[in-house]
Amino acid sequence: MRSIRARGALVGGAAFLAFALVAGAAAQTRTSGSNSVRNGGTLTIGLAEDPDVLDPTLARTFVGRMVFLHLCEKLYDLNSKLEIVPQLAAALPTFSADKQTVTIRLRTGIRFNDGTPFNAAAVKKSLDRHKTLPRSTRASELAPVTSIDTSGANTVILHLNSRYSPITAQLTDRSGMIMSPKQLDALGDRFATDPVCVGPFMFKDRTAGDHITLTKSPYYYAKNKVHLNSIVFKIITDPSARSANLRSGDIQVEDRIQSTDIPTIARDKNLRIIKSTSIGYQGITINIGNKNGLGKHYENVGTAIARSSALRRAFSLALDRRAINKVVFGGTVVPDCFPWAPGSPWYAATKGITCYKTAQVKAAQRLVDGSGVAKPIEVTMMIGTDPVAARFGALVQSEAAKAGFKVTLAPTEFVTALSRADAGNFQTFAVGWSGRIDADGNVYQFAHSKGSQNDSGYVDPLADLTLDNARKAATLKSRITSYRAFLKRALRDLPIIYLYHPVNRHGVTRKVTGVQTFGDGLIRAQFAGYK
Amino acid sequence: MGGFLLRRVGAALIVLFLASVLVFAGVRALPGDPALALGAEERDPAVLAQIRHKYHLDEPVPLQYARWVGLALRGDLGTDQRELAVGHTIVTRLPITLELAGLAILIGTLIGIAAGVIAAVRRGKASDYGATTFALVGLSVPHFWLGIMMIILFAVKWHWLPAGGYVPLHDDPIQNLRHLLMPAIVLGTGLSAVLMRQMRSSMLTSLGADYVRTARAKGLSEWSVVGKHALRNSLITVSTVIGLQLGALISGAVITEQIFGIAGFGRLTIDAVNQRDYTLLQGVVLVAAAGYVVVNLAVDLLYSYLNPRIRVSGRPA
Amino acid sequence: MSYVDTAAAIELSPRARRRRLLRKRFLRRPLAIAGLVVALAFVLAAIFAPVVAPHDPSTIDVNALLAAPSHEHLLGTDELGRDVLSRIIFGARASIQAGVLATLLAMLIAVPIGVTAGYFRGWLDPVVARLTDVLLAFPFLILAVGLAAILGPSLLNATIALGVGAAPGLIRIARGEALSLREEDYVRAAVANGASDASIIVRHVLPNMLSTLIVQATVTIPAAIIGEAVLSFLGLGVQPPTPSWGVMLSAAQPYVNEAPRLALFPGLAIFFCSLSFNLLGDGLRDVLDPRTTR
Repeated sequence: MRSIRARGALVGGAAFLAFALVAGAAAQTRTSGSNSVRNGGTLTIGLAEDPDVLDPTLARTFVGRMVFLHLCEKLYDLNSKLEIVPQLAAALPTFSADKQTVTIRLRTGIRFNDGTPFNAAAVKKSLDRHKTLPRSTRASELAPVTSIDTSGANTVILHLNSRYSPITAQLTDRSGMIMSPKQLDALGDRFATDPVCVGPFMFKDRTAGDHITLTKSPYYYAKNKVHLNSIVFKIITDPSARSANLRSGDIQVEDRIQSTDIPTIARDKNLRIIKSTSIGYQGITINIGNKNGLGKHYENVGTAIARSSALRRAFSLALDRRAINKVVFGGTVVPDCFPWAPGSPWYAATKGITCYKTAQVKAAQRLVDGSGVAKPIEVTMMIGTDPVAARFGALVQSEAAKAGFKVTLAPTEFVTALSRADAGNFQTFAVGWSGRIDADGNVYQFAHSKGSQNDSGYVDPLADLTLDNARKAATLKSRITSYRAFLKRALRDLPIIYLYHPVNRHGVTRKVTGVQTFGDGLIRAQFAGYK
Repeated sequence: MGGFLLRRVGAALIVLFLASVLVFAGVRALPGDPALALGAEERDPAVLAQIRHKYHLDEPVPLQYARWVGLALRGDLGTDQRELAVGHTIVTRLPITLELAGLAILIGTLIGIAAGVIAAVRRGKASDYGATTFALVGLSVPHFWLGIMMIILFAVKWHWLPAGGYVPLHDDPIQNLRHLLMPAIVLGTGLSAVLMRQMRSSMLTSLGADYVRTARAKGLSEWSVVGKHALRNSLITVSTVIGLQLGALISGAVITEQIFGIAGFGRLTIDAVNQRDYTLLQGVVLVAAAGYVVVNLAVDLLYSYLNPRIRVSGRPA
Repeated sequence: MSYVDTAAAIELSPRARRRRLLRKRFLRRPLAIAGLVVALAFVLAAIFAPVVAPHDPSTIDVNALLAAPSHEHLLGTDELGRDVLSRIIFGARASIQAGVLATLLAMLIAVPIGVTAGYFRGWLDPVVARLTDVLLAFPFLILAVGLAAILGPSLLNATIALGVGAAPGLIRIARGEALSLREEDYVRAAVANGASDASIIVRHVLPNMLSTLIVQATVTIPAAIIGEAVLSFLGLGVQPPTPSWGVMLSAAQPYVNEAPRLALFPGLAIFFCSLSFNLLGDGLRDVLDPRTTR
């Protein structure tokens, strides 16, 4: 009968469809080739977050820097040893005797990705924009720069109003990115809709929350070294989904593998993990004096831990950094007590200072008893809303309880948490910093009384002095001496309890070669290619 | 018919207007300074003040609303905080969710109608209990958990299907279907359960009706009796149920896209809320509400066309 | 004596007789009984959790992370070494609380508004209809996400969001009931006798809506339970480390490779809890339906 035949056809059709779908899986596997790099192909990189505005003057996210790396070269860059090397500049800058005039010689004969010639006038235009555009987030990075001059077509001169050692380091990040003057004139504020710089790749298109596409640039001065035709940054915020995509081959590079996926990816013969210890840190910021908001008058907020540095030290001693590493991160981070990572030249400043990586419960209890404050001591901690933050919070609660602290967790969505931190509306905040290659970039804004991100409201004239001296000092040795003096104050007062340094692990398929990562954690695939 | 049409459209417009006001006010009620919303690491207060000025956040709220509605009526939903056009984002991401919802409705309808008809025709027998149980399970199972379990089984353990993500239809139709199969099943189960129960109950009612007995007495074949009725009942039932379930379908799409990592329209709402991106959020929720109102209007008109008694009295007879 | 007894028996009869009939019908439905028993079990587990649970749900055991099920831990331990079974039992608290309270809130909002609109009609009815439509135009989850974002994530706010989300549908039902009930003969008779609107509503409309409302309640509760799980899963409801089935599912996601059972058990709990209320609701609907013969 008609209906039975129809049913039969339906079943047969369904079976065929099911077969086609499963067989489609087989089509996914590819064979690996020879060892030489071939030209062509699209590299898909799975990013953990959607970058913000693609405008170097306005951008603020870590993940945005990964896109810029391929799109917008800068005056200076870092090498694998985190040393500063020239990129758009021809050589390292030369300083005047008083260190307040910085002369930068530029590369010649190169073009922006719209054909416009790269010269001193273009550099001046970009640096001026970084300094003066309303809403610029580079202004504080270039604060000591009073004016920029050009000398001929290939030399730029920066005038500073005070000595500022971190200046070259600033030019290795977005402050040193140079934009096409023609595109700036055409788009102005809306430069991000079609950014044009000097770079191995150019901007093609972008869909919010989904992807950003870059294509190979025909104008790039070293285009022979560029093998890929295009790079697609796919936004995959769920870490499990990101790893699944890497393993299935839907992406070739994975940004920051979550700790629970590392064993599986490490075992996968088609993948390898590139890693580097971050130059940043993660810790707990304690509100000591931020009663009225950032930048307003600081006065002690009155909580038990704000009033007693001994209690803050007790809290820090009660935390077991090794257990945090093991339980929360599966042993994949670097426990520490300082703002700079071991292996960085600044770590010499920590010489001689003890770091307790396991809990010192007895010592903590002694400090708590000695403080005279009644137990349990109530502490509220703002944490993130992701599963990692939940594990971290629960562990801190349990460890701090042994010393007599009762920690109440306040999982807060990130943007709201930042608002509250700036307004002083918090007691403690579990937050980190992605890190800057100059030591100043990891401490000044947080611990100096005039720091732009001093959410602790920490005011210590002695600490201020050490930080200012470190900024002005010329040699590495003298800066380290100042930073050691700073640590003595900061570790006694603990506006921030430093807990560990993340280790950035990115996954890469073995079919692609040339993808690297340095201590700054950025994925570098400009000269990568398929084998 | 004309008067009825006018009344329904008028009502829809009022609802749309009220919805836009609600969206606007709701978005403004979100805590957290939107000027900070760019995943910020730099938080200079002077800079933040300038951001607020650029996005007119320092103007009185009614003025901001008027400005927004005026532009929206011309099709301009503004730019989000990344300088990307909200309209473009919606237009690129909406078809993904539409395809997902379409597949879910297809799967849900096929299973729901088939199960409902079988259960009604074979009432009291094993297949009735089987189908009814299936519907009950479909109603009780948390769909996002079903999705997680399916990922564990079909993607992680057996590697039959991808764990998530999306491939556009025009890029690779087979891969597109493979990526959407599990999400569509997850999304369609709830619909199939509701449909099944509706179909069963309405079929039972009509199968017991006098004219059916007459038809059978006249000697018409069982299949023509059941077939004709199943068809007419299903059209009415399906359109009513889908109209009622539309809200649930969109909510389901939000969480399904989250689990399967699909960058569709559903995910967009959550992303916009988390990023405190006022402009994006307003545009997205407005489009969602407008879509709902339009589809409901269409369903209402379809229902009244199929069931003429509605048109006259304005409510179910 | 016997005369008085018989008279009293006949006097009580209509209501008591009906109740006895309903009870008999209910007892003939094994599935509904099963639903009642299991739902009751979940409710009791939630209330008596500290007594029923074998371990403290928050005790972290650094040396027993992700332990497989054993004598000590019947369902194993989670990523922080906490006993899964105890967390599921304590998790019932959030689910039952949210399920019951959200439904109650929805009823408290919906019934007065719906009955007023359906009974009095006039200008109030279209206004209520439009406002309900506006609320329904927002997908429930978006409404809940928005409310949670505005009010801040917590179990209480999630409950409020769920209650507000369920209200529009219930308003429509309450309105429909009131609308049809006002055409009933006994209502018309009461109006003709000069009874006040308030007394008619309280004495005739509401009691006759009761069975529909009860059925709706038993159907809304499982939807609210699943809704709480969704909101907690998204981080908008119960906050860790308070156990909640949705929170447990969210925490289990990074571990689907290593320990898929962390995702299995909380999901099964949600499933059986909502299934039991659905079975109960179905059974009640059948029992209270005057057209049922069994």
